[in-house]
Amino acid sequence: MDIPTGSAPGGIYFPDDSHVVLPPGFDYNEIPDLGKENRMLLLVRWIEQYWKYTALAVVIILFSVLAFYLYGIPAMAKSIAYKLPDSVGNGISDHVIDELEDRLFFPSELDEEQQAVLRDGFAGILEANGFNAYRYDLRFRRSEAIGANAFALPSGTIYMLDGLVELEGMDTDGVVAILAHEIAHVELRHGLQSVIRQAGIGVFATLMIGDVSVGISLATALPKILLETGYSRSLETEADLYAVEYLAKTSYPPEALAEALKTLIGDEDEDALINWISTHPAGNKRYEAIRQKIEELGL
Amino acid sequence: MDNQSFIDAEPAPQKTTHEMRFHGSGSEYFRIWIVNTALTIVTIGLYWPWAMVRMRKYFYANTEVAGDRFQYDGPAKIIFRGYILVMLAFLCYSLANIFAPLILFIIILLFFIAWPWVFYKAVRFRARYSAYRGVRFKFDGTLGKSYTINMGYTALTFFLGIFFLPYVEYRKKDYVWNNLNLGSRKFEFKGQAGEFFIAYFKAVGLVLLGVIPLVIGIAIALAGGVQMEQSGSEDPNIAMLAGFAILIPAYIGILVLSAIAQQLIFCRITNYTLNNTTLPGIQLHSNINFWKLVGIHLSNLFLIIITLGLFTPWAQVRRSKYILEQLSVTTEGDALDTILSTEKTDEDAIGDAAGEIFDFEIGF
Ligand SMILES: [Zn+2]
Repeated sequence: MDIPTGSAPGGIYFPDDSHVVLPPGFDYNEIPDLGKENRMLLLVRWIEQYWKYTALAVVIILFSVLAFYLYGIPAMAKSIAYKLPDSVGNGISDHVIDELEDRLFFPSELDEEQQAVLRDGFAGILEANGFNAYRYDLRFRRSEAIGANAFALPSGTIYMLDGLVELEGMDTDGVVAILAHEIAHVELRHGLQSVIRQAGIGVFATLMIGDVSVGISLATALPKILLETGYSRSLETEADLYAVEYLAKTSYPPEALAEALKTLIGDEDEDALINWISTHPAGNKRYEAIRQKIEELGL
Repeated sequence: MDNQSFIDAEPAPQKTTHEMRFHGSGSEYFRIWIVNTALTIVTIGLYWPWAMVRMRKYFYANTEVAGDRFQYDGPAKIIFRGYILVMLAFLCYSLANIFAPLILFIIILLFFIAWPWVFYKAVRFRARYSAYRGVRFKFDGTLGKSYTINMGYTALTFFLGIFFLPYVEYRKKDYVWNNLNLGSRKFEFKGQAGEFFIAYFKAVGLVLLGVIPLVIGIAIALAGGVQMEQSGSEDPNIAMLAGFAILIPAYIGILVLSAIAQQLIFCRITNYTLNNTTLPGIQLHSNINFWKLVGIHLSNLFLIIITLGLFTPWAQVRRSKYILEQLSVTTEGDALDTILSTEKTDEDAIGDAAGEIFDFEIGF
């Protein structure tokens, strides 16, 4: 059978492979012994003729595209991130560390005693949770350009910048709580996940735009910028909740994480402080989520 | 167009030119495209072969020459089997990619070895299931030739440099067209490699043209950066900003120029190949205008991007309509009417479907 498409003519193939064109109005359902495949195609043809079903198809496509974007890519990124050998994360981190140390960072001006106290807290979290302390490397640095911030690289190198420690209203418990949050980023492989997500978005945009090779590079940049913040928010919240669990096993109070967050949000008017918030978005929601988690754990 | 005259004193057969017509419309194809795409998604990809066949059928069945349409009837069930095989191979590739880079190397090597076979099977399959007036096309090139061209010559490109590539492309066209039949009639392609070299060199020149502003932009930005370093200033200076200001449009310029270069190659080579191809008593013509093609391509690209892909079916119809309507055939006497069907050949090996899966542009 040659089930027609649109208004183009269809026809019929005979056993000797000759083809006969059938008139436009011909009802293919009247042919005996159509077979399952032809019946299915006739149904498809019937659907194609109506704009209302076409609209339904658009909705299905938009819905699944969105679902894939919001849940599919993150889930895939997560499973891939956990399968990758550590060497991948280390490789990515090495380059970043070299760049940062060369260009942006200066030695910390925190006094030895204060650094030692924070290192104690850091080691305490690792020990209480049974994490491999050898992969971790806590570095105190000063950077005017980056300001009040702390971040973790996939290899386990964690940077704590002076600006954050010296923040008004920030105490040792708060800084240790933020370190717990950064440890969670490392343990949960968030760095790799976000790299893989970005690659995934690139492939995804390519699929959407189709076989137009030039469109790819133009199109990938846009969705990346638009949706990245939404992505990182879910990872941040996850890191917060795990940080609460890590802290619960130590003598440090998990509430300190919520308070530290509040301190960072509260000082928004100071330029440098916005940094940690902007790379770690939606402070208020995160604050509530941490509070709720603490309650759940009955702490 | 029928300019046959009935008062004919000449003994020579009458020459008649038939323009190709394309009857598809964007809004009609949009419905087919979107419904079949949705079904593919809902069935997690299992429906894909049927969707592909249906979409291709639409383009064939809407192409008319001398009052008759083309037909495409690729059997979705066979394509489905090949599709599953390719998906499994892809899965192996992805897993190897993650776990064992050495296996990855072997898989790539295997693919390189299999490639000429895939190409050969793909052309056969597409020909076998394409027809005009119920008469099928047939490809009777040999597998050995495919290896010579797709592996041998490609390997030579490695030694002789990229300049050899147009010749490989010429040999591919030669291989496809000189082994193609419509029923009992054999196609004949008498083109030379020269035009292929011209097309490729012009295209490369066009892209190089776009590299110039990029290089200038980088140079200015670097100069600005050096000056900034020397003066110890924290703020980027004008030279640096100007350099970066040039870089972004220069980058977009290169993308656009490479799109134009692709069209240039397609336009020149299609025109040349078809204008030098005949069937007994039938001459093919192609008169695609480069600038019109570029206009269609760039505006399509723009609209596809701003509609996040939804314009795709209109874009495909627009492009196909323009290209197909620049084609025509000139027939002597009743050459078109005396083409006979040949025996049916069975092409149901899984590999044959590979071409449809990778979506080759074979050039019918
Ligand atoms: Zn974080």
